[in-house]
Amino acid sequence: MENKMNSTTNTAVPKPVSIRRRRRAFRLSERQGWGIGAVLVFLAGWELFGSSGSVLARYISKPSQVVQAGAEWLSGGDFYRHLQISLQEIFGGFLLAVAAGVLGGLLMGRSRIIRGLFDPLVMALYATPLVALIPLLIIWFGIGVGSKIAAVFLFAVFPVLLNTITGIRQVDPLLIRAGRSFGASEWQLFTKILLPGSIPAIISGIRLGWGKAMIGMVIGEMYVSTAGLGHLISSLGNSMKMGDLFFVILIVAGMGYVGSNLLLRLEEKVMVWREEALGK
Amino acid sequence: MKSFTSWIRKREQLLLGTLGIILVIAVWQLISDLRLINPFFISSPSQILKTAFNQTVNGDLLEDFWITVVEFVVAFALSVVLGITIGLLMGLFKRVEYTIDPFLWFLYSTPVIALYPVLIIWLGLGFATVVTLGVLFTITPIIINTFTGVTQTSPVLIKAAKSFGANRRQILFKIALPSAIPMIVTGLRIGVERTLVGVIVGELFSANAGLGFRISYYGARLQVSSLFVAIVLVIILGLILTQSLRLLEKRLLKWQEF
Amino acid sequence: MTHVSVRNVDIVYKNTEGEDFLAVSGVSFEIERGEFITIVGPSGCGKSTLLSAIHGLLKPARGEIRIGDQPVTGPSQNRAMVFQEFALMPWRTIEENIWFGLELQGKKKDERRAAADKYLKIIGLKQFRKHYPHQLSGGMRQRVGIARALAINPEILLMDEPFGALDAQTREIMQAELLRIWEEDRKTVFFVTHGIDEAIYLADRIIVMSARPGRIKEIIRVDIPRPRTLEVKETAEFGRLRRHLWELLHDEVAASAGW
Repeated sequence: MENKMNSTTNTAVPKPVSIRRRRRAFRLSERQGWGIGAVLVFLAGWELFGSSGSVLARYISKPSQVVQAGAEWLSGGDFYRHLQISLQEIFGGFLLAVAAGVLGGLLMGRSRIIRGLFDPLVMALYATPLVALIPLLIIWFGIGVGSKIAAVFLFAVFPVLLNTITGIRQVDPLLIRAGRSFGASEWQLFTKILLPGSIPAIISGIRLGWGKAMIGMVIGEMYVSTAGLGHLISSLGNSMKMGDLFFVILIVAGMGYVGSNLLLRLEEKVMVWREEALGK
Repeated sequence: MKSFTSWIRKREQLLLGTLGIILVIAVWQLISDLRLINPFFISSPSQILKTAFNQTVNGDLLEDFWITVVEFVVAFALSVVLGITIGLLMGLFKRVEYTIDPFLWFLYSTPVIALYPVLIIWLGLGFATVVTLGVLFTITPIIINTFTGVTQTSPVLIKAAKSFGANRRQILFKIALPSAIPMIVTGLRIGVERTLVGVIVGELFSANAGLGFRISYYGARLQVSSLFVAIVLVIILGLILTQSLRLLEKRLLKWQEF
Repeated sequence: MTHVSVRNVDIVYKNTEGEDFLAVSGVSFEIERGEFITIVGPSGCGKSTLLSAIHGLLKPARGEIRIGDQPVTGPSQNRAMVFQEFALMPWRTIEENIWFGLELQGKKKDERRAAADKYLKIIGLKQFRKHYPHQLSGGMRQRVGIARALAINPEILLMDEPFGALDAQTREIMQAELLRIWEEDRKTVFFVTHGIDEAIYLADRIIVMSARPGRIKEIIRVDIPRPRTLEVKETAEFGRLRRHLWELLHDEVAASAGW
């Protein structure tokens, strides 16, 4: 080792690449090991306790039961009907929220006056638990799909709106000045400088909005509905079909996770493009 | 005249904001009075005020308000104590972090409210369930922020403390904890909002008292004015709580550069 | 009388990928009590690592470091460090930062306050005692860092490029300030720096290190009489030393930059 170190290079001689790769494939990192271990222990404990005869056991089900229930649900038609309704509600509300949020955000971000007028209302609503408004939405839009779309819209619109406003406002004023000095009109400034400059923030807001959209859908359906995943959660819970309940909860958690992940990747991609564009 | 315009300019946002609120209330009242939309669905500011007055005089409005506040305080206090402790333990001991991490992630992604039937069986309707829901909603950001705050302690500060002979306990209490406070406070700020949501959601589904319960009760009976009264109170409560925390934040963090 | 003795010290460091490399190799020297030693060398030559080892924050892979007749086994309150990034606790007032070391030792409040008073006076920042670090300029913050180190009354002061983060003028003023404070007590000082002028101005002897792995290239004696004002930087003797140091370092700096 010493002899190699005597050279005036600054780094140690790295190991050959092929050896490094092979080693890594066989070893789980310590972090993964403990994490997976803990989950396995938990599942095992759950299974054991759920199999015991105690009264409580009936109320918490067990992993094998959840899997079984899941298999039944996935093979039946009912599940997909509920899934479809929920998806309709989420996408309907979410798309509306993105449209309104981005539009409103652009307006409020660009104009001091509009921002000043609406700021207190937006901030007051943002600080409230929006669940409190769900019964009102039910009165306005009925117990069907309409009120859920409204709920999703309400929950998702704020992150999008606020992030868009921030995005517009933090565009480098130097760029705006530069654009003006090249004779750009207001519209051109908007489309060529402000909009592209705020896209990362907007996408970030959209990603946060997705999480909230899911919550809006679930809580709305759980409160009052005739169909959908949230409706399932409510009715399964009330009839104490715990295995089925946990399965549906997993599906919902999964949807949230997948959506967030996809949007996160999109966000990161946009960041990369941005870096490259700025580099040029 | 010049001083007037500059006076306006300084307070521009404040004036516009007030104007915005007044406009909304005025337009609302107008739409209702002119029956452009059926007042049954939207009530009106005057009607809401009247209802609020009656309900306050009868006493039960304030009682429900108070119940919600108490549930909030208990849930928040529990979340803070548990959350900071767990976050600290995770920050100190890698093994603890690795073990708890997957559960934390799961708690964060699941709609906790879905578990309320289970909670009702265990804990019955009312206080205990609502508080538990509140804690489950809130504890995750507090844990995460505490953990991040502690693990991001500046290595230079730790080196400096070691160079003056600090032992492990001293480094924890005199360096790691104080330097984590800004992040912890942010976590608390997020937590305040989430506790309120958790408590209201809990009351909506599984309580027989409190503001959330009133919302559910009047919503079911289509009594829109009373519904609005409860909603407005929830909004006011939310504003009070967030602003109080903002003040607390300023007090605690006076050593930061602004 | 020999105060610090370093013999055949090798120090091994782990880089960010967890691989070992030799930071310092075969270093030996003996320092008398009350000497002001500066350590110069190119970036990455291990000077800060050497300083940490003398303090006891790092253990040498080979060789031995002794202070007095005791081997160094860990940090001790006999030695105090001053950092380039100041390393002040932002949530503590200036006063509280200064008595930090004493607090760790369990000293009572009166004692701590008295010590803080004394050193606040020495560094001339008495009216800032209740201020926070962010309210102070870089030079002032480093004065606090120095006061904090002095407050525990160490035998040895270890200073790791303490003026590196300051602008040129403040740097000069701080050099003179440091010497003024040092003259009162004449502790043994190890001062790591990049700057040639700084190294010569402050030192009784200069340890010149090579590029990584750091070895001692030469130990130069500075015979300029004390007390030294900033004007000595204009003298012929200073110029000679400067040229000599520059020649020594020139090759090393080029080597470590990959030429």
